[in-house]
Amino acid sequence: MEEKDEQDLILQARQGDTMALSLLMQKHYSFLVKYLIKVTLNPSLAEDLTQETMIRCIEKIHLYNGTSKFSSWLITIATNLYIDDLRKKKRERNWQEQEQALRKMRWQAARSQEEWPLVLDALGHLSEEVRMPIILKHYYGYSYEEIGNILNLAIGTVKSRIHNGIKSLRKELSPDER
Amino acid sequence: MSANDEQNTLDELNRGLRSLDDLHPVYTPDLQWFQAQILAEKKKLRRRLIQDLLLFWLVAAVIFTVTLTLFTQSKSLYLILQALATLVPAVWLLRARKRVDAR
Repeated sequence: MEEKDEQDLILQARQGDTMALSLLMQKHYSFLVKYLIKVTLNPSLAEDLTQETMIRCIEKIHLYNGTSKFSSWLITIATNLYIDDLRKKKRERNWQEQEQALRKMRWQAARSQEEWPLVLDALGHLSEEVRMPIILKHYYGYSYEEIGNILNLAIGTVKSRIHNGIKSLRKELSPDER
Repeated sequence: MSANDEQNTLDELNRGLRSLDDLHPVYTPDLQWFQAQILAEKKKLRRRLIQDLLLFWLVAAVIFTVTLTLFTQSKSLYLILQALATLVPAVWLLRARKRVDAR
């Protein structure tokens, strides 16, 4: 789907066209689920958040102003829903859920005879507020400013979280450097 | 941490994240499924809007009836109610502002 086609679909979807919104959501569905699996490192939570994000998208499509890409808008909604979910649960419960999800993913990888990358364990041990900007910057290639807008943070905060997060990852991956 | 070390970490990170896509392949539902979801959600939203509007009209009708009854039956009670409706929010606002200043 070309950029212009997508702009047309967005315009039609904002005017209440169900087919246009369905096409848009179908096009970005896989991108959204994959993003949520990466930031949550918990596929079942990612699935729930995808459903919630889609509901929010249906409710708010008339408010989408097109200043950012449609995929970035979806990521912003999904990220905020994830942050809300984290706030609702206690830190201890979050940590336990994260450990459980990582164990399950490692087990699934072993079952399908795939190698489990150690970097994902290290990433799972970082706090969510550090993990999210690292993935947005270094995997998805967003600028510091865009990440600041998505996470509602100052650019300086985004930079320092990414810098310290990479340092922690490096330390965890090379224990002899500790 | 040297620039080389950082690059190696980032390469490893990206490889790890990419492998998640293979470990958890995503199945995208067909277009009809999305259409059904959207129609169901729109129906729910419309129902919620109608409920909210009905509640709004009901509350407005009760307030209007009480005010009109007081105005025709007891002018003094009506004036007291009007004064309270002005004073209570003003006092509440002032107290809230003082609390903010004290912080």
